[in-house]
Parts: sequence; C-alpha cells; structure tokens
Amino acid sequence: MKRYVASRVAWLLVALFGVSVITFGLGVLAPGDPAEIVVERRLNQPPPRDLVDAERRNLGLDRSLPVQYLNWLSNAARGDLGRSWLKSIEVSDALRQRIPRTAVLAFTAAAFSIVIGVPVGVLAATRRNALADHVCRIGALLGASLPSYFLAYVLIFVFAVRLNAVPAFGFGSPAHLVLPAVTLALGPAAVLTRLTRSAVLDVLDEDYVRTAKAKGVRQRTVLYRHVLRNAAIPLLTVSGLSLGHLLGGSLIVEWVFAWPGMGDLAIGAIHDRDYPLIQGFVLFSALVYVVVNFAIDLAYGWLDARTRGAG
Amino acid sequence: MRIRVVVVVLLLVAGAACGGDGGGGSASQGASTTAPAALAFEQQNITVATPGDVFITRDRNLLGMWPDNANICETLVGAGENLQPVPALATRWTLVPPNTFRFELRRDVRFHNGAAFNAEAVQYSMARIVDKRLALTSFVGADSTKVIDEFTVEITPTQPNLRLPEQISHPNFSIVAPGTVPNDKPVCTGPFEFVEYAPNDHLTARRYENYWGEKPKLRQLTFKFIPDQNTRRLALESGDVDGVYFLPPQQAASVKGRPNLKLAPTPPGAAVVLSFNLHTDAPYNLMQDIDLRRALAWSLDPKALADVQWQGTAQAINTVSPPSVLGAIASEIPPITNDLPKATALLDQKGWRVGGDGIREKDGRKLSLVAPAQFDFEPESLQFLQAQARRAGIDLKVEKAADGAAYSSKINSGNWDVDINYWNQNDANPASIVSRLWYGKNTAARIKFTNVGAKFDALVDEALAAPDTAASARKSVDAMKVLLQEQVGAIPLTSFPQIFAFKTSVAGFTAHPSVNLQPWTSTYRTG
Repeated sequence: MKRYVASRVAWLLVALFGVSVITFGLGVLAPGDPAEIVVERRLNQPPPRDLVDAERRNLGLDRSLPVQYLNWLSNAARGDLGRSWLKSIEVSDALRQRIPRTAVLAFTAAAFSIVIGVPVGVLAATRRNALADHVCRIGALLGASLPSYFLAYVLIFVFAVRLNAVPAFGFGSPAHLVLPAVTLALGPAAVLTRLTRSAVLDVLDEDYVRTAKAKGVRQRTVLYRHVLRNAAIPLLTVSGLSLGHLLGGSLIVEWVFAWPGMGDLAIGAIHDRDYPLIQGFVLFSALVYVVVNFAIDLAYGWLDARTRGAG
Repeated sequence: MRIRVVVVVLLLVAGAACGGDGGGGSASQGASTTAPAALAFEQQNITVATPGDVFITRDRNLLGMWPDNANICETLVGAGENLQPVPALATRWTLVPPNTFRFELRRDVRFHNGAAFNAEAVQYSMARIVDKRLALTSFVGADSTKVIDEFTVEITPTQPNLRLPEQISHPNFSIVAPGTVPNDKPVCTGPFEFVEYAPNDHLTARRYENYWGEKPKLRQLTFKFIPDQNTRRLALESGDVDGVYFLPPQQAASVKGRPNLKLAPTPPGAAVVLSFNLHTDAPYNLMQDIDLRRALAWSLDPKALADVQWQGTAQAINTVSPPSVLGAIASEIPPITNDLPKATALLDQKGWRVGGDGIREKDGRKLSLVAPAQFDFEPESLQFLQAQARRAGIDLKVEKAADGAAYSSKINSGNWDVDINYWNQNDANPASIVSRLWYGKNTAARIKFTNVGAKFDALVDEALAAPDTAASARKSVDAMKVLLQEQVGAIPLTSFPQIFAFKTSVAGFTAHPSVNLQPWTSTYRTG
C-alpha cells in the first residue's frame, strides 16, 4: 500500500510539473503584452512606450523565458506563487481568501446533487418503465443538457424576480447559497440519477438480491444493504470527479451570481492577463483533481475488499 | 401521490414564471410634475449594482473615486453638467504666464477625519498622484506644486500645458487628507464619506454631515459589484438593488416596459470612432489612399447605426469628442453624409471594380480591410458596419478582440487597416480625445499609425496652449476639421449614453455626460 501511495504522489508531482509548463507556455503564447496591460489599466489610456518598457523590466519580462519559468517554479515550490500584477495582493493570499468560499459552494452543490440524484435514480430504477421512471429520466436529460448559465438565469428569474424567495446574487448568508448551489448541483444530479438508475438496475438482477428477496428480506433492507452498497463504486467515482470540478471553481456560475470564489477570480485574471493569478488558479485546480482522484482510489479499497487486495 | 406533489410544484413554478409582475406593479412611472415625497432620512439608503470590482485591479489607489465614483473625494476643479470646468475645492484659478496656474482654495472645508483642507493637503495629494503616475498627460511633476500660503497653491507643469485646470477635474486628481493613503480608506472632503469596502462584493459610503456644500439627501450609498450584466438587470427586477449601472440598449428596452422601473440615460458621451492606419507598409497600406478613406466614410450611415442598433438611445455625431465638451462650435464641423452612389462612383473612378463575390478589386488585390474592434463592442453593431461597407464593395474584415490585451496587441502591431473603438471623456479638457488618439507628440504606441500630420499636430499644440477653455475648444474643433474633413483620418459615427436604471421609488438622479462622474447628492428614495 505504501508503494502504491508513493507512486501516486510521484505521479501527482509529474502532473503538477506538466501543468506548470503548459500554463506558463500558454501565458507566453497568448497575444498581448502584459506590461502594456498593467500600465494601460493604471492610466486608463493608451500608455506611452517608456512606461511600458519600464514596467516590463519591473515584471521581469525582459529576461529569457527559461529564467522566467525557473524563477517562478522555484518560488512556487516554496509556496510563493508571486504577486498579482494588477491586484495589490499575493497570489497565495488571493487563493486563501477565495478557496473557502468556493469550497462552501462546491460541497453544498455536491451534497445537493447526491441528495437529489441518488434517491431519484433509485426511484426510477425501482419503478422501471412506470410514469415515475419516465419523469425522472426526462428530468435527468434536461438537467444534464441545460447549460449552467441558462439554468442560472431561469432560476434567478423564477425564484428571485418572480417569487422573491431568495436573493438574485451575492454572498454572505445561507439564502445566497441556494441558487448558485442548485444551479451547480442539477448537472451532476442528472448524471447521478442516470448512473444510479443503471447501477441499481444491474444489481437488482444479481442472484444475491433475488436470493435475499426470496428469503423474505424487506425491500428497503435489500435496497440499502445490498443494492446501494454495491452500486456505490461508480457513484463515488462520479461524485468525486464532480466535487473536484466544483472545487476547481465554477467559472460561469460564480460569475453570474457574483459569488466571489475561485471561478470569479479566474475569470478576472484571464480577462486581465494576470499571469501569476492564472498560474496559481490552474495549479490549484490541477492539485484538487489529483488529490480528489487519489482520495477516490483510496476509498475504493474501503468500499470493495477486492480492490484492496489488488492494491 | 409523490408524483402528483412534484407536478403541483412544477405547475406553481411555471405559474410564477408566467404570472404578473412580482415586483409590485402599482408604482407609477409617468412623468410627474411635482417631486415625489422623500422617505425619512433613516430610510434613505440605496444600493446600486455596478460592473465587477474595478478597484481591486487598480491597486485600490482610487478607492471610491474612480471608476465607480461614490462622491467620497473631490478635485480642485470640477466638470460641470456639460463637462465645463467649475469651481470645486478651488474657488478660482488664474494663469500666471507662461505656464503656472494659481489656485485659490475653498476655506472652511474639513476632511472626513476632521483635518482642515488647505494648501498643504493639495501638495500632499499632488505628490501622491505623481508618485502613482496618475498625472501623465497633465505633466504635473514632483516639484510642480508650490504652497503660496495656507489657501493658495501654484502648479507648474513640467512642460507647457494650459489645459491643466480642465485636466485636473478627472478623479485621478482627487485631494486626500495629508498622511492618509486611499488604498484601504479614502479620507477626502466629498459629500459622502467612506464606510467600508469588501473586495468583489461592495463599497459603502454615507452622508458626510460636515460637508461644505449641499448635503446629500441619501443617508447611505452602496455599490454592489455584479460583473454579469444579465444578473445586474435581474437583481434590479427582483428588488435586490435599487439601481444599476451600464444597461445594454437591448436590456434597456425590457426595463422600459416595467411599471416599477425607469431608465436614466446619461447625455450621449462615449463616441464610436473609426481610425485608420496611415503609416504601415503593404498589406496594411490601403488606407493611405485618402479616396478609399472617403469612400468608406460615405458608405457608412451613422444615423442608421444609432437608430437601429442602439434603438434610439444613441445619436449620430460629427466630432470625435462629446459635443457637450466643445460647445456650440461643435456644429461647425460638417457631418459625414451617407452617400452610397458617391462612394461607389469614387471607387469606380479609382479603378476598383466589383468582383464576382461583390468585393471590389484592383490589380489582383481585393478591397479587404482588417478591422480590429474592441472586445466589448456590440457584435450587432459590427455586423451592421460590415453590411454597410459591403454595399460599396468594401470588405470590412472585423476582428473582435477576445479582451483588451488582444485588442491593444493588434493595434500596436500595426497589422490592421481600420480601428473600431469607442472613447470616453471624463474631464473638462476639450483637447483630450484629439491629443490621446492622433497627436504626434503623444508617445502611445498607436499614434505612429494614426497620426495625420504636422498641420493637425500644430492645431492640437494650440488647443493645448490656448489660454482658456473656449479658445481650446475652438482650436480642437479646427484640429478636428483637419482630421475629419481634410485628411479623413477618422470617421466619427455615434455618440451613445451610459444607461442607468432605477426603481421608480428612486428620484432625483441627474445623469452626467461622462461615464464616471455621476453625482449622487440629489438622489433620494420615495418608497
């Protein structure tokens, strides 16, 4: 097991190195002169060349690319991700401020998606081809197909503008959490519904389930003790990946709801070509994915003794 | 049973979506001749949604001053309702030849921290402005500001610049209390004082009780940062905010139809202008031919652009600056008339023949023009311009930039023919726009492609050196005549407003023609 963990950690480092190279390369290849952007934002007008040149030196952009990259990498290894070019803040501080907000949204959305997706999937499976099944499947299809920005506006219109039940945007109270979390949850919930339905249907056909039923075990016990536990592995994989995606910052949803999390930070940084922030965001997102995947792998062993043995 | 419950809930939601106005349709929007009664002072709080948090990207150097101006700070000279220079913290200013301005300061003014406003405060503020490089085109330098006595200062730019009083009406030149740094808490003299700033969330200011001028009717003013324009409008419709900044024309139409909301457009201020690349080698040298520039100008119909694309909120213009900053003499510049037959005849005469695809060509070269456009330009307006140019056989290859950086990069590369952008005026300097975009002595990278020559530069020199605002406006108009009529170095198309929208229960807001000098002192709530 130790060897397995060590190899996963080594791959994690390789993945992060690759991400850092790609992120740095994309920043370099992107059109636009960062020094000019910084000065133009400061002056709010087309900037004179001498100030742009001075800013380029100030930002270290006059050095060779390998030197720029190595400087950044060595600092990053010490936890110093640099300073935002346009915001008066350290990148690590910006991430520290935003991560908890995104985490609240991500975990709430993930919880919503499980609370909605799994029971609906079970309902659809146990009422196979009945009206409830058809309604659940159509709902899942809609949930999976609707773009989140469209869904966000529909939810704001219905629940904030028309019903006046929750705030349309913002951050700070549980009520503010409702619409963005539901918007984020419906997509993964739809996937979970479909997956749960198909996993439960598969397990319902297994011999041990038929045996349990034949022995007179109650339907609810069969479902919870035998069916759901065995259907849990694919559900865990999807839930984990969804959580990884949500923790990485849900760019569009955070933007639409003015939720000041990682997604909002990333959009602003991309728009401003604020490379240190973009690099910090991408590194964080990659790290979240790798760590979540790692945790899922470990959880497999807990859920399934066969996996533990193989590991 | 459970399914029935789900169906009922869905029907309720659908009913809510299709039903009547949830925001309370009883408020009237009609133009009332009597001012509605204000709420009690304790209830005079409004929240206005603005685009994303701009302070965070500006080193918080101008917190509450610019671009979201909460009227916390003031400048020595203000920009009046027609962008004319008006007394603010300076009651009077005079030119001390050749290049010094003497400002007599307002007495009995206190900063929000109780400190007295005086010449020392002006010197401190100017030093901060120079240090932060906010005084670029005004040429105020580190040693420019001199204290004469407690209520008199002199400012001598580092090079001749008689536009200084008008330029310092820009909020960049706000006066802050000595010893304070506005990055986290601006301490100024304005009608509102700073309360709090939550990055990416809001900025709040409240009435300053010891304000020297007319006190605001509002008790508290909060700017909520909502980057998405659809969410901003929906937040207004839901009642989460009382007003919104910068509504696109298409959304303005939707707000107009709601009985509990009203629009408050500024007078048209920002100008849509096409500029030409006049100094690059092939293949970006087509616009060096003045007849091609003229033909393109005749092929475009600014009035149709204003009426159709801006839904009547914009107006066709004949100047590159907002007409209000130039005054009545702005009308001396003849408008460019849309004359398609004249455009096609000129192109025929120059040997540009219409090809099979409807695009003209000459000597095997297509009349295709690379036209970068600023990233936030309305796509419909760009398509409209393309369609109009195409009627004359001109292929306008519009390249809408992904963001401001991509736009600047394209312009600074010189690999373009026609620049499509809009420009704002936020100070009282009549020569502001001409000196920023085409003036040969400006060292901005784009100038080496757009400059229209010595005659224009000489007139801008004179506009910058004119002894007063009216004389400067006169010279700016003369420079524009060279730019637009003699050289056809640019095509002004439309001037459009910034559209604010409020609940009908918000009264007294008077929009300013600039983008970000909106005054909030007269605004109040009636319900």
